[in-house]
Amino acid sequence: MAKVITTELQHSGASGANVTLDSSKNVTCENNLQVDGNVTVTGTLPADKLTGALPAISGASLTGISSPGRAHNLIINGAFQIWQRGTSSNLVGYRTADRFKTSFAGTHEDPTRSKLALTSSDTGPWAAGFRNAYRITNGNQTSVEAGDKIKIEYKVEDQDLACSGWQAESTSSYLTMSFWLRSSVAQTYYVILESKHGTSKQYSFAATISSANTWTKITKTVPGHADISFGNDNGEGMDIYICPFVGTDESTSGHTLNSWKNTSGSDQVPDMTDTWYDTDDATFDLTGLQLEVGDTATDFEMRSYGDELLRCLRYYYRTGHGQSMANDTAIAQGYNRNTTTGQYTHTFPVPMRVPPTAIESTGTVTDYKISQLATGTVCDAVPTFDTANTLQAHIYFTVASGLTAGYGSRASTYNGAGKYIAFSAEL
Amino acid sequence: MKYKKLTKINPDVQIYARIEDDGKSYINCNDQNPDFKAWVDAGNTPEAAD
Repeated sequence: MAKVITTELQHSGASGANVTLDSSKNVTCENNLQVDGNVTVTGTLPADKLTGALPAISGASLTGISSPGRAHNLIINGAFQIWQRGTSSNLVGYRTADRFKTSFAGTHEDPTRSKLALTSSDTGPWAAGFRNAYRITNGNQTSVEAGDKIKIEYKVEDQDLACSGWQAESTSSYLTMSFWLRSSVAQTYYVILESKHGTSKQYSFAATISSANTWTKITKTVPGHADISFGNDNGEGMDIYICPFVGTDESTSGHTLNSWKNTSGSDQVPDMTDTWYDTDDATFDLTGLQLEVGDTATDFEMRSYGDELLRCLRYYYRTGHGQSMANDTAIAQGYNRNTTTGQYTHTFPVPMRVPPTAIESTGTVTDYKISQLATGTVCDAVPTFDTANTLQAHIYFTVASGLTAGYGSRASTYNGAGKYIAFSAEL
Repeated sequence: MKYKKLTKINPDVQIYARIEDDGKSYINCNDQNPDFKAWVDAGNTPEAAD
């Protein structure tokens, strides 16, 4: 076989070599290299050898790339941007951040939930873009009983899971949950997922805080199970519990973590240390809660304030949306049924999950007013519910006297800023 | 906490005021309200209207 032995190849019109060859078998192309066939690398091509300005390369032919999950967070208000009900409460139930409630029992001093404004010193969540967290401040629990508990609770709507793409009945299809957690007490806490449609199943896992007062990113991938299914409806699909403390009425020493089992009231988590619960004013902070389809935790799906508010309004709506409305803000236009009662239709900003069954008010009758022509009359009863569908509610305002039956009238707030009415369609 | 019937405005609908321990009422509802139903299911009976 003939060989050409040389160190350079040069075009007749070039001022220097196009290709140089050295004794170590390196080949250097001094300018562009065009390959009309395939390029095969039999050795390795380390990433650090791909230097310089790379061209745009289509990923259509790339294979072997694991699924990054879908950038879709099934949790609403996971960044705790929306607080229509208020920013601090020690009452049970939905009281502060939208879509989240805290249930507790057996406490000697009720825990306080509050909006925690993060700062640049909140290493981790701050850099990830979070500006709020949901804080529980424990009360002074003078003893620990079996029935004691404090749980953060979130309910996912059935059809959101049914249409999520998660093949819930498959053990090789996954949900991934991620969140930032911080506590003033380093210990192991627990999280429970509870499917609600059909045969209810529970899945529990540990969320360990190794260092007090330090934000920790918790990530957990959960497989499906043959018994789990979801309906394409507006009922409860899955409940999520994040537990600062659960007493032995709901825990078992031999509890098995990290697997689905039939729902049990008494075997939800392993027996928990009561260190956090037994510490007066201990804190428990949560933000960045994300639940997504796939086996990988992706970056949190940041939504605009407006987008997140619209999602929340499906479940709860307060006039003002958490902002303080000015005095004498109109609530509705309507007409007078008689000399004491005005009837009004109040339209919701978005269709609610189900027709509300109640109206909420400030509880103070003089916070409301009916105006007829140029005359305003302060109410002598709080606004009263009549009927509702998912789009609007019929309500009544009542005064002692002075209305003209059949006249048009206007219902409004009164007695200062911050008055409201509200409707709930929470799960 | 307790519930009390309100005098009917709409003759077809009975509304109940939820009376808190401080005597104030922040919520009034119909008989399909989940909290009201749970309270009734627990064996409680609303007070009559004034």
